[in-house]
Amino acid sequence: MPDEMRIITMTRLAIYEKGIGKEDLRLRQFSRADYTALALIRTFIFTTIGYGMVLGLIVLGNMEYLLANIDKMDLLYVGSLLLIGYVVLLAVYLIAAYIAAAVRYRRARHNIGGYTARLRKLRTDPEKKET
Amino acid sequence: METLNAFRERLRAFYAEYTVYVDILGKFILAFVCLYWIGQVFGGRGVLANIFVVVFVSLILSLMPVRTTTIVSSLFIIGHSLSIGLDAAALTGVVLLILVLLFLIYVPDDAHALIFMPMAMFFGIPALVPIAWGLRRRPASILAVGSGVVVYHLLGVLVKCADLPPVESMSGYVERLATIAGRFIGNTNMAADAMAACLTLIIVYAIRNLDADYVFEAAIVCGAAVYAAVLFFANTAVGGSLNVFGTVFGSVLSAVIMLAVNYFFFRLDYKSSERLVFEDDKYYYYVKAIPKFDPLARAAKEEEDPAAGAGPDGEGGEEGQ
Repeated sequence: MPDEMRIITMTRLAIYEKGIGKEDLRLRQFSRADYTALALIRTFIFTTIGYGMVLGLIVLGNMEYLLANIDKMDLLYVGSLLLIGYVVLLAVYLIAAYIAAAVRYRRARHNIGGYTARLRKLRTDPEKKET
Repeated sequence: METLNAFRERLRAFYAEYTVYVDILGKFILAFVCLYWIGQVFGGRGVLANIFVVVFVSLILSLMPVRTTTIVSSLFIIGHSLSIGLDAAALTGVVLLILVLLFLIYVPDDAHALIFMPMAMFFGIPALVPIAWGLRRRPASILAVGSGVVVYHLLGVLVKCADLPPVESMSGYVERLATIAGRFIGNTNMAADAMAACLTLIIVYAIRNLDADYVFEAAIVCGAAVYAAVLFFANTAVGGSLNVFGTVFGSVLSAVIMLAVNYFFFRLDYKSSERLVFEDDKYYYYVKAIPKFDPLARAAKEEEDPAAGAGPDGEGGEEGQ
């Protein structure tokens, strides 16, 4: 005859695995440093591509003005401004990504701790009953 | 009031019992409204605006996650802008890609604001989405809500550019693309709308986290007022145009709708039933878990054992993130 408490525990574990546990259990394969590093690399790539595309859009939208005034512009100054803007934007995104990854990882580890404790209890309970 | 409360409890019990069917119907209606609205914005022309195509795609989307509706809606926007020209479609694709790479990839659960925000702005209730997201989500959701504002203004520019003369050569496309891009970037109202939406969301979120009575209602009313006020001052600052009466009326209507939505949906714990299949050494288990609704008992239990309400119970981790 199935044990009711055991079924309840297994059901709750299954609900967790189906819901937020999906992401938490995926995180389990990474160490904290690896997970954070992956998040930072992804942020760096996407931010760089995004910044480039925004720059391209601005150039396209102001094409007439740029073509008419390009010989009067201090290109070094404009280039420095664009570079500083890129560095500042990248710094903001990388800091935010680091904090988000660290918080998400800590939360996942906390949830997994409860999950593995219940799993261990599920495995040991039948042994206690038999003895 | 008691009749409303009873109706609300019946609604919650109904959802708990028939989660699967309600979810499928809800997703179908959502997808249909989004895709149909996008077609109407572009004048109701073309294959993608055909009602049978919209119904067929909506039926498929009703069986998929909600996020897929946002992706397909974005593809529909690009598809519709192809009817204006290759340049318009290219610009739309680039703008959407920028929004995904810089903003939406960090808030994937809020991505549906990309379509809801332009819809709300189109129907004159722009404060609805920032207030709703501020009540239910988190401050990072401003990335998704702001992206929705950008999409609204992008659609506005595309629709206005439909009256540009058609082009036949590649150089003509590039020239027209520069014109459309210039109109999009030079849109001062976009910055004002984005600022108003983001500030509203943050203020609603801050108020709803206070420990007081009626915080949700106060957050909604304050959110609507803040939206109108910030929009007024932001438009004045950037030199944009503003329909004052329309903004005030839209904010009031948004607040009224949100108060009703909050009463019937947000303040209750609409937990869905779960259908699960698992096995151990002896049995296969086919389980249907239907949530119980006894907030006092639940609160007492969580006070005794805080771990019972989080982690492996499938709750707690995402809420208030």
